[in-house]
Amino acid sequence: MLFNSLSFLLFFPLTTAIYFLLPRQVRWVHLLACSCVFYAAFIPGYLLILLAVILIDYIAGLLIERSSGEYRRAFLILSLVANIGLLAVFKYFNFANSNIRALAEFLHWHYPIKNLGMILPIGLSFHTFQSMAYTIEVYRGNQKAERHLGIYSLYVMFYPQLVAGPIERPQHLLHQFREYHPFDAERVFDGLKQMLWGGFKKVVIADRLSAIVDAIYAQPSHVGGAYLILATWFFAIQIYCDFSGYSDMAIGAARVLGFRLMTNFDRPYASQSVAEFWRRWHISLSTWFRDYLYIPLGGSRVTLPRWCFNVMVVFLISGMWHGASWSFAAWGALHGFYLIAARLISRLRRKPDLGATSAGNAFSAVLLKAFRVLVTFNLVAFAWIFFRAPTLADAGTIIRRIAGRHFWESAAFTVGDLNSPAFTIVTLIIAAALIVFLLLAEWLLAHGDIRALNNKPIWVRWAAYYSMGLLILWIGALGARSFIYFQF
Amino acid sequence: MTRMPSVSDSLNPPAPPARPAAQSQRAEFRKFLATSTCFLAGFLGLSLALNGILGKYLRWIDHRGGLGGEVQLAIEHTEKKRDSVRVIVLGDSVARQLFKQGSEPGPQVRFLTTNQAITMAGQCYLAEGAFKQCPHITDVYLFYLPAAFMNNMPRDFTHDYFCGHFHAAAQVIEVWKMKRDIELSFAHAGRWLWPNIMAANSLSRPAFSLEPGSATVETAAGETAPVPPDPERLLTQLSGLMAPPDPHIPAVPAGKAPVVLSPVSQYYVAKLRGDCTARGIRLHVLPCPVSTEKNHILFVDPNHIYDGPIISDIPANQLIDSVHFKKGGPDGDKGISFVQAARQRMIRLYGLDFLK
Repeated sequence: MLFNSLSFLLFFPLTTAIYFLLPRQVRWVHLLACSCVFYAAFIPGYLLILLAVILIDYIAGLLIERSSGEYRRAFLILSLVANIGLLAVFKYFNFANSNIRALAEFLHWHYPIKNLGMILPIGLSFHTFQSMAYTIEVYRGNQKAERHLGIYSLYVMFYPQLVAGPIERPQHLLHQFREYHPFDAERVFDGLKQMLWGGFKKVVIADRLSAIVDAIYAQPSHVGGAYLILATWFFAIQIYCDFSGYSDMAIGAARVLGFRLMTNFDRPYASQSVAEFWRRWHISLSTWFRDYLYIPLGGSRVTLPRWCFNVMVVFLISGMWHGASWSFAAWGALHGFYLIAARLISRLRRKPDLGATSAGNAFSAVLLKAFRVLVTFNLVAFAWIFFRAPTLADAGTIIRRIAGRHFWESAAFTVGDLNSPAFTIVTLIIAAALIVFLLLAEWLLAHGDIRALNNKPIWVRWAAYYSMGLLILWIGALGARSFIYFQF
Repeated sequence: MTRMPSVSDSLNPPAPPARPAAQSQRAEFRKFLATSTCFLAGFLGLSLALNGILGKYLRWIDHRGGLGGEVQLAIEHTEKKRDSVRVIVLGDSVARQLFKQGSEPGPQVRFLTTNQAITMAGQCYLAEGAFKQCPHITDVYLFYLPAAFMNNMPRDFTHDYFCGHFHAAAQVIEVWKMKRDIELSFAHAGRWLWPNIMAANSLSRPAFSLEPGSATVETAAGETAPVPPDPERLLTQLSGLMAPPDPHIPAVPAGKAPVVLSPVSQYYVAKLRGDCTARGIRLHVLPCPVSTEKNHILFVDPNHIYDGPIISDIPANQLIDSVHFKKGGPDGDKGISFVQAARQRMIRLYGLDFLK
C-alpha cells in the first residue's frame, strides 16, 4: 500500500481509530494485523518471505543469547547468511546469472540456467537489514533477545517503516512496542503535520519533477547536454523529495500511533562536502553501514591504503544494496572515489580560517560555504546520473552528451518539442517555483526556532497547512505514483 | 558543534512532557475532534473558494489546453435549446473525424461526436442533455469502434475524460450504483466537489492524450500494453467483490474477435435504448470503419450490437495510428481525403443521405 494512495487515506484513519479504542494488551495484535494487510496489499504471497526472515532472526536471537564462544558466533553467521541468502536469491540471482550468461556467450560456452521470473519482494532490503541489525546487536550484547514472537514480528513488520525505512535499531524501536501510548492530541497533530509535509514533497514536488525527468531521460541520445543537466538537477531534487517525503510520512504515521522513529534526512543538499552529505542523507542506512561494516573493517583508524579499501567496499556494497545492476555499483564507487579524493586533497591544501570575524572575512566565509555547497550538490547530482540511467551505457551516453559537442544541441528543441506533454513552459515554471519553495521552506524551518512553526500564531500555522493541502489538490499528482526507493 | 535543527525536528518536535493524569483520554479525544473539525471545515471553505476562483480563471482562458475540449464543446451544444434538431450523432474520436462538430449539413442535424474515453456513460449523458434541449429529435446515431465498447472506465482515462466532464451528483451516484468502484467514485465525487480545482490540476500536469497519432491511442484501440502494478490493489479487489460480472464472450471462429460490451457499455447502451424508446426516438448503433490489415483483428458481431455491417477493409496506409485516419488523401491535400472517402462510403452503406 502506498502512503500517497486512496487506500492508505482510508486505511490509516480507520485502523488508527481502532488502535486507540483497543485495550493496551491487544494493540500489538492489531498493529501486526494492520502491517500484514499493508504488506499484503502489494503481493500477498511475499508475506511468507517476511515470515521466514522473522522466524530465522527470532530463533537466531534466542540461540545467540543462550550460547557463548564459537557457537554464539556461528549462530550469528547462520542468521546473516540466511538473510543475505534471501537477498541474494531474490535481488541478485538474475543479475549474477545474466552476467555469467553474457560471459559464457562471449566464450561460446553453453549456459542453460535461465533467470528467475519473479518480482523483488517490496522493501526486502530494508527489512532484512533491520532484522540483521537485531541479531548483530544481540550478539554484541547491546540488546536482549526478544522472547515474544508477536512483538518481534512487529519490530520487523511495523507498517509505517516496513517497506522503505527508516531502518531502525532494536534498542530504539523494540521496547516501544511494550510501552503504552495513550492518545495525545498534540502528538497526533504533530504526526499528521509531518505526514502532510511528506505528502506535499512527494505528491507535489517529486512527482511533478519526475514527469520532466522521465521525459528527458527516456531519450538521452536525442537531447542536448543542457537539457540533460537540467533533468539531472531535477532528479536530485526529485529523489530527495520522494524519499524524504516517504520518511516524513513514515515518521509522522508512527508518531500518530505514539512511536518515535529515527530522523532519516537532515537537509543533505546543504552539505559542504560529500562526507557531510552521507551524514545527512538516508541516515538510517549510512549509520547501518558505518556500525556494521565500516567500523568492523577498521574504520578510519587504519593505514591510508586500508582506509581507501574500506571506503570503497562500503560504498560498492551500498551501491549494490540499492539495486542489482552495474550502474548502481558505479554510483556507489563514484561516491567512494569522492571521499577518497577529498581526503587526499585535504592533505595537500591549507584549510582557510573560517573563524575570522571581520565583515570582509565573514562575507568570504559565506561565499566559500556557498561555493562548497554548490560543488557538493553538483558532485552528488553527477553521481545521480548513474543511479537514474537505466543502464551503464545510457549513463555513458548522457555524460558524453553533457561533456561533448552536443551540449547546445538543445537549442534545436524548443520547450514542448520533446513529444511529451510533461515538458512545457507551464510544467517548467511550476517545477522551478516548487524547488524555490522547498529550499525556502527548509531554510526557514532549519534556521528558526526548533519548534518554529509550532510556536507561531494559529492563523500562521493553519495558513501553512491549508496552503499545502490546497496545493496538493491543485497541482499534486493524485494518481498514487510509486516511490523510487520501493524497488530496493 | 551542535547539530543544526532540521525540518523534521521542526515538524516533529521533542515529545512534550507527560500530561497530568487528570487530563483524561476522553478530553484528548474531544480536543482532537474539535480542532480537526474546525480545521476541516476551514479547509472545505477555502477549497470551495479556490474552486470558485479557478472556475473564473478557466472561463477566462476558455478552458484552453484542457483535456477533452471536444467533450466540453459537445456539452455546451447540448445546453443550447434547438427546436430544429431532428438527428443527433454521437461517437468516438474516429466518428469525430468523420462527423466533426460544426460540420453539420444543416440545422436539423447536430454532431456531438467526442471520444471513447468518456465511455458509453458519457455518450448516454450527452444524449440525455440533448433530449432536454431538442424536443423534436427523431433519430440518434451512435458511431462506435468495436473495441471501444470494451471500455469499462479504466483509471488512466476516466478521471480526466469522463469524471472531468460528467460529475453531477446524480451521475456520481449512478456510476457508483452501476460499477461499485470505490476508487473511481472517490475521484468522481472529488470532481463533483471541486470541479475547477480538479480541472486546473488536469491542466497543469501531463496526462494521456487521445489525439490521433498519440502513443496512448494504441492502448485505447484495445491493443495490449504493459500493465503497471495497481497502486490501489486493495480497493480494486474490494470493488471487484461488488462489481457486476464480466461480460460473456461468445465463441467465434479462429482469427476473429467478437464485439463485446463491457459492463459499463452494457448498462448505458441499455439505458440509452430505454430513453430513446420512452421518447419514441430511433437509436441506430453503427460501427466506425476499422482496418483488419493494420490490427490483424477481424471483428464480428454475433450479438447484433450494431445495426449495420462492419467496414473492416480500411487499408493500413490510410491510418495515422491503429484507428484514426491520416489527414489528406491519396493525392495529398488535393482531391478527396481518406476521411471524406470513408464518410461517403458509410453514407452509402448505411443509407445516411441526410448527412450528405
